Amino acid sequence: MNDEMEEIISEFITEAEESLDRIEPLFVELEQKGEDKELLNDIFRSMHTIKGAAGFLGFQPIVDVAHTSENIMKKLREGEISISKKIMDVILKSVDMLKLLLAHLKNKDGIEENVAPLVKELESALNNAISVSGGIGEAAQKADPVGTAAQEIRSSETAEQLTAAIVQTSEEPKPRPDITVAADSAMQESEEKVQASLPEDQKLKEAAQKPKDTAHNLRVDIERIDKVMDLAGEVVLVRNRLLNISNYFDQKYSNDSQTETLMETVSFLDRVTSDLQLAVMKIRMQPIKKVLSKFPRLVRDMSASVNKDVELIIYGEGTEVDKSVIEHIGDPLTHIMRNSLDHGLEPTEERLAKGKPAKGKIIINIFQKGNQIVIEISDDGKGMDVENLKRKAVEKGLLTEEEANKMSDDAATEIIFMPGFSTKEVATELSGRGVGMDVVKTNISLLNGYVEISTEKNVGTTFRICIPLTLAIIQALMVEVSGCKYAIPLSPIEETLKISKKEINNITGQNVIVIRDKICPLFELNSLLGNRYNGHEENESDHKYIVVIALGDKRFCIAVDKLLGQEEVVIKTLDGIDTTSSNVLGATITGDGKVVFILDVTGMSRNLLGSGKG
Amino acid sequence: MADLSIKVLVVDDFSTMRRIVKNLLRQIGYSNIDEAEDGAQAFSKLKNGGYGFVVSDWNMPNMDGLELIKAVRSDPELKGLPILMVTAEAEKEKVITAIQAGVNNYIVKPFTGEVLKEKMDKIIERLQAQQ
Repeated sequence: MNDEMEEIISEFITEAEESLDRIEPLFVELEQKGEDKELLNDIFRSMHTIKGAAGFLGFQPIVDVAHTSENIMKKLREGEISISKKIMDVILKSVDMLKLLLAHLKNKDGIEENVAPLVKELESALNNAISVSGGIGEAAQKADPVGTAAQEIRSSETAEQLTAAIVQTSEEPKPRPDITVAADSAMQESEEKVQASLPEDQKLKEAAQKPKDTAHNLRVDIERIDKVMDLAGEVVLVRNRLLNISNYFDQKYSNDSQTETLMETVSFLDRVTSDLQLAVMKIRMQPIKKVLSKFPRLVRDMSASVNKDVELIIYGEGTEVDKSVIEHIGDPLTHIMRNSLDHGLEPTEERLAKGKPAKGKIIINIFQKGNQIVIEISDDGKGMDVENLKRKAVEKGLLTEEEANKMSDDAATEIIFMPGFSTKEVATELSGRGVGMDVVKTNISLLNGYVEISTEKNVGTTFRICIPLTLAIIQALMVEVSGCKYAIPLSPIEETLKISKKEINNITGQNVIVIRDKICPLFELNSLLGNRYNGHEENESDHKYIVVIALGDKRFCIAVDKLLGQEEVVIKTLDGIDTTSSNVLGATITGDGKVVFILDVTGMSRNLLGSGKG
Repeated sequence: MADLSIKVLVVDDFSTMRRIVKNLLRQIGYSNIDEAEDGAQAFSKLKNGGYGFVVSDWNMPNMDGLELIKAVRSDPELKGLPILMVTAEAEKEKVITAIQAGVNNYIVKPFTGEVLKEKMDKIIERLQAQQ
């Protein structure tokens, strides 16, 4: 029973958190749209359900907070009070409190929050709203926000004690379920009111027509899914080996009928494995909406504190991304939005003076492009002042005068990602929080992705984040250097070239080649990996193979001995190796059964070119 | 006597609540339990037949408990099905709406297994007496 109870509690926490995440943006929508019955119903229902389940589990503070805010929602729904900023603020506060209470439960930290002041605040907000609306006397009395049942069980602390208390309280409502009671005319009146507010027939029809998309869901522990993911990865590796072996047989025994059968079987296995891999990947995918749901609220609160009028528009919130993306993308997005609000968008007067609409816009656009998820955050603000960025970076000692002068405009925009950089003399409440935009870069590269900035004066700035679709299995280019095989992730590879050694120039100690009139730094893979023996193969041929890597606006070339072809590799992380400085992402087992390192080109780019000095 | 082998349908949009109610039902001896997320899903399950009792929440998306009761009561095959409404709203006006719509009884959240048993037994007794 104890385990069962624990499971129920953890399920409750997850479910309640999801409900709150879901309704939070609805509040902001409600504030914009005014009294929308559907929205009010939706929010009311969630509060109500959380309260109900919390009651069973004996989480009294949650019951109290949910109950009082539910009361407000009810009065709003019934039109007895109207939406005001004050009401919204206090309800949003209660959502925060519920989240905090749930977090305490989740962490089992035993911390108790005193919810009494908040409940009081909710009550007085409700009472004020009622007296404003004019329905004073009777309505105010009815609005006893903490129900009698709730009060009686307040003292009980554990679920067990609670159940004992319930026996009496639940028997309290006396009206016997009997049709005759309904003859009471006053009751009929109120019933008609309810009827009028809900056109039942119409709703019923709508409900019947609405396709059910959430009919059969199963909650599964993430560890189990990761285990399946892991095994699917192993299957991919075995498939790759089999493909290799069967090719060998095909060449050697092509006349044997069994070889043909083997080839057929392996090619079937190949297809099924790809499908399996995709299917497993999809289990881990969730709509990015989950992360975005907090932004309308965030923009609302932030725009109020910086006194700017801002509209947030989100496209593609249904785009599905890997769970790890959901986990890591929240902070970078928040920081970019804060930056746009704080530095990007102009104050209202300035906008009007420029002939722009008073209301600023932030647009988040999410879409899938090939094997990548692209997230664009655009504002229609003043754009980045590149010279100003450079000047500040020099003042702060992040760049030398010389570096700043040499820096291209594109590269200069990336200054804002430098640790310790902030463009305002006085850090504002929003941006000045110790952690800055550098968190954006760090988190995105954790996901093997990259960020680009494009900006235009007085038109606005766009941050473009690109992240690979899945993190565990990637397409890779297999290369060889000094007899060793390495895998380079395919997505950042722009092209591969065969060049003559004469094409390599040396500028101030750095090897470069010219690709279509653009100078591109060239690095030997051996030296990148710290291998010391580059003596014997140097003179073997006049040619070199070059892999051109493009990450955002940064480009560099890696020189290798041979290009071996494309292969699907499963990333296995290496325990005990510092992957940040070793230029290695992980390892994989190839079709021929060898362990091969996967190169970390994002890390290389960071180590070789530095940030903001591309 | 209540027949414990009947199939009971638990309707609630919050899965934690469905689980709590299912647990309580098991506690009091029912073992044949199915669940639905909202009125619409419940109604289509009920239409497939085989259910002997419905324990439904009131507030749900798509089709709420009240709409479910109305749909069941106006369906010639299902109209006699006993329905217990789970509600946190003890306000009289709402309960009466539900009774008028044809709910057999209601139970106020939170409740214990004993109270649930008592309510269900009463409904079943009354229905048996009518027959």
